[in-house]
Amino acid sequence: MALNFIGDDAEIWYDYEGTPLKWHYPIGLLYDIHGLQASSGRGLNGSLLPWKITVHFQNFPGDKLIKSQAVDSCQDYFMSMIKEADYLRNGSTKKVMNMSKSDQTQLWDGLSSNNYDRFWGMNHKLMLNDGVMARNLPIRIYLPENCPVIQEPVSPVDESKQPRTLRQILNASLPDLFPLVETGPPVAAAMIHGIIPCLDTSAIWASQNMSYPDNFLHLVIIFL
Amino acid sequence: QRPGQRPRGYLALTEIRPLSSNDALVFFGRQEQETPWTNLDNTVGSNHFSAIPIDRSPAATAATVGADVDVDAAQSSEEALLDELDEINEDFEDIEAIEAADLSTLEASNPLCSLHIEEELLLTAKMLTCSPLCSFALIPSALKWVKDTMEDDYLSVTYHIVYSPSFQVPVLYFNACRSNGLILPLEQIYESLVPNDWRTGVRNAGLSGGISQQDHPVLNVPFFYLHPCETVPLMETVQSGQNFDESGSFLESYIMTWISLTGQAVGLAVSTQAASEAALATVKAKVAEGVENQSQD
Repeated sequence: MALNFIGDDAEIWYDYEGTPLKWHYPIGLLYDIHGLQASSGRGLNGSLLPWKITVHFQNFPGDKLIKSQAVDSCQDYFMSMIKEADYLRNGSTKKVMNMSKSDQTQLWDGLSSNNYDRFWGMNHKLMLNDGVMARNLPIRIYLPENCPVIQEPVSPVDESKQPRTLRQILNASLPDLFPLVETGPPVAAAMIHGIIPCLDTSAIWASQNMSYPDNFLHLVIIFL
Repeated sequence: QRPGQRPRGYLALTEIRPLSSNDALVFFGRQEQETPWTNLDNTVGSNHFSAIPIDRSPAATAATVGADVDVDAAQSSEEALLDELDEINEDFEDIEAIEAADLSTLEASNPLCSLHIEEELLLTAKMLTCSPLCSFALIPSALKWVKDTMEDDYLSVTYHIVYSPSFQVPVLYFNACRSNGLILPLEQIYESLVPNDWRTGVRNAGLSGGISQQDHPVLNVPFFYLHPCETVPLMETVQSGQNFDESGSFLESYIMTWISLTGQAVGLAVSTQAASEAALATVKAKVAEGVENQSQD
């Protein structure tokens, strides 16, 4: 039996407890989404590590998962997230499109070969945006049960040019879950990289220091 | 109120394209769904559908709605179809039947976005199959009926026009499948949907080609889409060469231009007049906001 690992016939896919895992999401994000929610009985201190994932070699669910997972498509998807982040920050993708081929290669190579210095050599230019305040912050918010991702333009400052906090950002999209003034115990929390940041954290600081390699803050909402 | 709940609207067009002929049935709908808490299939939303005559034949592309329709030739088959549909719809309370020969009524009644259908309402529609005439649209059960009775193998293409909050332009998402339900892979999309003279251009656009897959922003399942970052500079070039006084005509022109540019690339063959008004209704507010912001810079 021939197994196809690359190209349009690529049949490898992964699932956790029956749910196909979106291969184009960063693995940390996948763990935040699937791991903690599924183990909500263990509370926030629970851990699923080592995370048991099933590998499949056939019956690719084309209705649920994007196809062609060859390394090239990983790179394409990564670059389109980088472009989108750039567009959100600057209102155009000029910065990314004007990167030389070797710079783009350095960004991807640094990431794919796990070379921190090589990756950040390029990425810091994108993240710090030449000191120019971003128009919008690249943020994606994930709700449970395969809800569509919340992605809206998020301004880093409010009307009086004060930096907004994570609480204010989350309140704008999910006012019921994240009231500006807490009237009781919190019902929800936002998780990133497996930790729950304090909601008074400055959003721009979070964007510059806690983004994933694709330049996005992927916030997963969990219920307390 | 459920958390994360906000209506996301998109314009949905489903085209049934028999492989043996150039004709097609196009189903137009404007859908608004609340962001679901659970499985999207169970989402309750209000569905606004429109009955719009569409003609895919080249001769009728420029013709006005309702013109050049050879009604007599299709009369008998239409009656049979209407009978069938009546049977399907008899369970439902409000039924509006559109008379076969009364296309002028259809025009006068402003079909675009004027038919509001609650969950259980269905609208009886006239459908003309496999004939070089105007064919038009409606309702999920009618769509299912057409699929069940279609004898030829056909391609079913679904186009969704969704507004992208990041790029502030409309984005064209689409999927195609054969009568057996199998979704077409990328190579066959290029073969079946992209017109010959567009193929090389679309393939070479951007970093990896103009068409890729992504999670649909509302349905969260894989859909092919045309990269919006190619649209943005393209539309800026087009816009800068045009001069408009009122915001209304600017928007309409913007949408028409957008549809004719992007739609053609993937075989979206609807008359620009019908398409522009319907797309306009869906994205109007958002595009106005986005376009104003861009033009203020």
